[in-house]
Amino acid sequence: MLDIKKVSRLTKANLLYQRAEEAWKEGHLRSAFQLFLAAAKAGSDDARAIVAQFYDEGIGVKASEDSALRWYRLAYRSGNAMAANNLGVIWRDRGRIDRALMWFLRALELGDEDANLEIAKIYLNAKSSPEKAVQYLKSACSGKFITDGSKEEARALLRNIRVKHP
Amino acid sequence: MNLSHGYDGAWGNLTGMLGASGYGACSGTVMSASANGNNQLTGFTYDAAGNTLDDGNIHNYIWDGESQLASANGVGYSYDGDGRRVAKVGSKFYWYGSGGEILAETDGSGNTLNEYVFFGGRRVSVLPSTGGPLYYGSDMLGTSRVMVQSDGTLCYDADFTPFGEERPYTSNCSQNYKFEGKERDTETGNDEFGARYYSWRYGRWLSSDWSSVPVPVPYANLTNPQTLNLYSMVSDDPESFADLDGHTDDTPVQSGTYSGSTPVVPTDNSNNSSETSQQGKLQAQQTTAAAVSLAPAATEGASTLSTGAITTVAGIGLAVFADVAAGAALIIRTADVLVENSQGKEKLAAVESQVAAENNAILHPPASTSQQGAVDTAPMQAKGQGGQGKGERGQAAKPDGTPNAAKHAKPAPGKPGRWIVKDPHTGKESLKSPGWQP
Repeated sequence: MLDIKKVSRLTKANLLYQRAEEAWKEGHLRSAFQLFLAAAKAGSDDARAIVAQFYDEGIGVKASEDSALRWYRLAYRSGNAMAANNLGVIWRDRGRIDRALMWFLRALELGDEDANLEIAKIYLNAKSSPEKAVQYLKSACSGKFITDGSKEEARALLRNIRVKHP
Repeated sequence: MNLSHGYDGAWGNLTGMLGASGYGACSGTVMSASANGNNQLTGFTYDAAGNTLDDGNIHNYIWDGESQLASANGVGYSYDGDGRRVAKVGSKFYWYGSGGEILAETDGSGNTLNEYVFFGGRRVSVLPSTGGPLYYGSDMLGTSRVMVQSDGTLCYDADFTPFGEERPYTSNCSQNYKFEGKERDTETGNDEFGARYYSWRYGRWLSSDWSSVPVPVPYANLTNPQTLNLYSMVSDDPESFADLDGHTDDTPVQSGTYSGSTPVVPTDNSNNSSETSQQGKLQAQQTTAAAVSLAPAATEGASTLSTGAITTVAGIGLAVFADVAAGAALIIRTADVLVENSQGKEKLAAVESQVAAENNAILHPPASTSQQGAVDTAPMQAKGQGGQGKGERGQAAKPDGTPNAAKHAKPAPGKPGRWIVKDPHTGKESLKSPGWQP
């Protein structure tokens, strides 16, 4: 049965989200951040990832990687692939390769095929499993939900591996 | 419990609360008031900025130059640069977490009074300075309804009227975070919501709403005059909406299609059973509906829509359940309704996927595939070993003239017309703002 209260709450969250989007479009970044934050707290899944992104990039709010981590994690629980990918990047940059790998794999599970490239780079840097790197690079080359830039980079890396390991 | 609420004309001032019966020996709230042309209650005293100086119950509210409540009933308040209350002078300090939630309270000497644990943005537990932890059970509005000790013993159980009056059944453990999870100040009985203070006795704010950014009419939906009332609580619909921060922000800024922010929830009588509080909710909603019917603009908007109609505003599908007789409507984004239904969710996903595919086909026509092949070799030669995005900074466009941004952009899943851009140097992805095109 339709839960009216839940729907009402989600409706409020979505209305806040809609207003936040308008503010963002018009360049009112501080206002947009506050509205996205309110929407996220009211239960908007989409807003969570954007709040995280705003914290991460310092848009409309003072940049805070820790806050970004917290909101990215919440966004991931809502099924946001971008959040998982960015968590992977943050942990990779902090030197926690094991965690980074876990998050990139989660991003991949959620359909973010750019994560193939990042996973391959981790295996290439570790120099432990070039065959795994090749596997992920091939997946990147044939991916659909992946940027052209990542595809190009994957092709170049693959070519480089073949030159070194013909 | 039977509760009835009265409102004045089109502006939605709560002018009467009457109840209750059938609630043991407890007497109910009786409130009767009238509002002037500024939506201020005539029994109240206000300063020139619209802040309450005397509400008939507390006679000595003192406000500072920033319209922050500096003192009430003899207790002084201090605020930080972000406007958050950080102290009750001499008795309590508040310590905030990164998300703006109060994580701890200390006394004037720095001794911890309470520590709070949050999960998913909600207060779930308090660790008092003495005794074991207590756990909160809150309703969908965030109101603390029950509290249990660590062994499961119930030590607090209360109902709240729609506008926040506490009706405790059991109250063996004291704590102050009650209506919508906000602190109820013991010295005044008012609730501290962040931006403003709320008086449940009168179902209204002590000060008028304000906006941190300069906009002509903040938070107002110009098709619904009730939203111009800067003192009303969540457009007089506290059963459906919780206030997050003291600002009235539940109102959509749209025109034409919405009939106002106050929904009339289709009520299934079978759910009301014999629970007295449910009856109170129903009564409150019916009263709210009557209030909305007095809003001419609202009625006009609703009259153009039929029950269950689906319309589109700013590209968002909306299901509108309009009760023309009552002059009110419940507006739900169709996506939310579909999410409630697994089959609907699949259909929605299929539609979104189709739209995304169409967008993709338009933005990446098949002809460009062969060009991609060309790009595949030429730029790589320039890039040599092809480091991470190496050599791309000075590249303003692809050979075919496509802006370089497109190379690192991909359509955002489930968001037609939106783009995710990947930073080639860091690997981070970010959703671009509405209207952005690669």
